[in-house]
Amino acid sequence: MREYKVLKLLDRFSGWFVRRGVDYPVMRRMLQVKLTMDRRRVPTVLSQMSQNRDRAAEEESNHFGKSLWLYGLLGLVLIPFLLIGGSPVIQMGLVYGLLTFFLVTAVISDFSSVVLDVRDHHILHPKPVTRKTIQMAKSVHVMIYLTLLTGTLSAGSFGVILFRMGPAAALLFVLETILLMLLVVVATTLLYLLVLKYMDGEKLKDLINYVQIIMSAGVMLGYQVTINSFNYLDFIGGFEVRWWHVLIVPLWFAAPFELLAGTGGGSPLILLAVLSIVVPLVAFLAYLRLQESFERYLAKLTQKDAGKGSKMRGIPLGQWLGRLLCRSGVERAWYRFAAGMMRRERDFKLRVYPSLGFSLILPFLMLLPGLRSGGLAEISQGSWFYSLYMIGIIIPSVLLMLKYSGAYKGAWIYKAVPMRNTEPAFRGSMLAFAVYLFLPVFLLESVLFLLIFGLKIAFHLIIILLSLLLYMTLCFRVLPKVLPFTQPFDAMKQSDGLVAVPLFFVSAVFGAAHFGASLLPYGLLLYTLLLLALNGWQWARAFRVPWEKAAGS
Amino acid sequence: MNGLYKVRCTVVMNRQDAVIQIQDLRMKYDDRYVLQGIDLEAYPGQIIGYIGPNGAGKSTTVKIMLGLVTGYTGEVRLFGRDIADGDPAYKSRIGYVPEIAELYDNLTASEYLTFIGELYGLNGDEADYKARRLMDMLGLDRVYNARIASFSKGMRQKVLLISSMLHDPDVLFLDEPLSGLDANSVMIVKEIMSQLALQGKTIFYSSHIMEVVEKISSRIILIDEGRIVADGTFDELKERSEEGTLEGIFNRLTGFKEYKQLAEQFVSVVREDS
Repeated sequence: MREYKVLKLLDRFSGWFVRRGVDYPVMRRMLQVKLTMDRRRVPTVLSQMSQNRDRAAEEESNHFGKSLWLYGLLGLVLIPFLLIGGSPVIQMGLVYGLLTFFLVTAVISDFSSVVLDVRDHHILHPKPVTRKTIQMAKSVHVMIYLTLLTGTLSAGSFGVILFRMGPAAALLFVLETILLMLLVVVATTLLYLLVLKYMDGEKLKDLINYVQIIMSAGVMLGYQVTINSFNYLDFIGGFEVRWWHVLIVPLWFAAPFELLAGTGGGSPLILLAVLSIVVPLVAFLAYLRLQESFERYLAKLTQKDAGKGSKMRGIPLGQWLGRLLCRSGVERAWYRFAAGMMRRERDFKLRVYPSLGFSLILPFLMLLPGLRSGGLAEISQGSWFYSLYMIGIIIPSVLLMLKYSGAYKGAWIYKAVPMRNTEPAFRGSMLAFAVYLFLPVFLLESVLFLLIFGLKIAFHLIIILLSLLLYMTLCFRVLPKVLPFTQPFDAMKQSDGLVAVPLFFVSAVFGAAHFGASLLPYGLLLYTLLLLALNGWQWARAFRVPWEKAAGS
Repeated sequence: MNGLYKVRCTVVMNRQDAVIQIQDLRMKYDDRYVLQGIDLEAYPGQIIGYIGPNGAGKSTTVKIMLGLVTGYTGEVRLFGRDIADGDPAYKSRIGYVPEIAELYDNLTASEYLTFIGELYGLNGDEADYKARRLMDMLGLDRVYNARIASFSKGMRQKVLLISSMLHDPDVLFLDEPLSGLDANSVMIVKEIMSQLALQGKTIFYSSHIMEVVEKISSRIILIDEGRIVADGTFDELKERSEEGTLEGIFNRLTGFKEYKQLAEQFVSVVREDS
């Protein structure tokens, strides 16, 4: 096993660990093993197949290292904010807003599995090692990665700050970024701890799942709020602190930059700046104190309460629609199965539900500028309801997710059963997606829009629904077709998402067509009929995929 | 020779010699008691078959002794020390093969075993050398430097067995130690167990395979619904139940006799409509 530079660096702090009662040599060894395993986490199932038994040992490349480049690129997004505008607190507020967003997302998706890992529990706990050592190894492991990640994310900004604001600001940036990182990790862990303490077994896993979903959605929303909390006027003139700014965490970290620039701002800014230092440190101290109990509560995750369990209840409407829309028994089986997976599988929910929530908010965000200038009354007269097309963005992103599952190993059954035709599988699960995920979002949104715009848009809503349903079949045709729930989430590649980007624009084309039709006499009626016909045709035909093509990958 | 003597004379044992002492052990998950008052003592040289139906509380007992599960009531002493004192040092005298074969399978067998050896306090090179020879003897020399992810179930089980014995523990907890092994390996492992017992080690293992339990156990503890329902040598249990095989005893003691009838019903449902 190789020697890592990080560990050599860590050796310098060994005294601190020893003072905290950690068995340093053992922790170091655990870290070495963990780092080695991370390097080998091969993102494909293929590597687990028995054929390349001997080859497996050789290929050793740093997969995480590769994905770091992506984060480095992502970090460049921050730079424009540093170049435009003259108010440090606003610029940095935006930068920290985005950084928080990236970090929390990364912590939830990549590090939760590390923090909540129970394999450690099975393997390490029976050994003569203290809980404290195991937990500390875990924390340091997460910290090493998060530091790398934060470092690459903020490297570009660091350069710009160094040149534009000078070395003092650059130093401050490093300091505040470290504090932010600390806060993100510790807050997440403490939140888990709270849930772990009061919940048990399966319920606990569900609750953790919901916490993750809410956090993801919350951060998405929070970022929007951060951006919108600045008026365009603020960009030019001074920034005025309002009481509710205390609630916006990224602003804490931005405040010291304004103070450093010396443009004043007074005591409210100082308060924010103090928060950015005190809160992370207090949280960190609390974390060190509670660390050991975390390991203990974690054991609850290994408990299984068998025996209990309820029959899955379908939503009556969903069942009724299933009976109505599915054309065969096999298809109905797929419909029910896919609906169950979407509603129950935690990994799937974690990845999909936040974007569902986001798509719920997105059309309203489009309304915001108008709301600001003219107020609700003016908006309700306009054509802003076309922003409803924005919820279409969930369609390609969910379709891309449909092939993944945490329980992908169960997919051997598809090959064991006499299944020749993939159409029922695809059509059934697409219908399930439409009925159980898409429709609720759309209906909720429609009700809200009806409240704002009035009944006159009812007909338009039907057109939008039909367009999006048609769009769904189109997305299906364009995107790679893989049998649902057959791939591990590990196999997910960041580049997958890029395929969906052109599709986002296609939903705008639908919007444009809709608008065009509304200008013609009887246009809307004819357009509706056309959409109905196209939907009927596509929903009947789009899902015929040859077996070899769907199962091949 | 001391160990040999102990095996033969299961009756006369000093209480101080007990490596495992459990008193009134109870464990509750949610509202359900998994263990409802377990009392037992185990001595050097014993091979204890810890058996019972699924969900009887076997694994929980073992996990408590290893400190994997906390929140129990009662007293658990290993090597004379209460494990509730939080000092994990006693674990260095224990080897453990869990029921679920959790391994860091991204590591090679060499890396994994060396790492585990080190956790038990061995020197790295020493652990590596020892592990290599043990792997060799179980016919795994060719894959010593291959990743465990590529191993079959039986190979993984062998790695687990080796990892549990590297540090020459005094007590071995084996949960289904023979699962996935081929007939030949089963014989080897059984023989290893009895030889270790002869040298004074205590082996505490659970299994569902009655023939194995019958043949190698010097003492059998039968547990059902969180209680010990029988404890003794096979012969003692036999006397008590006047039935030939352990399966018979097992059925009697756990009140499960209707297997034939149940199987018939099962088959008839399978055969419906065909």
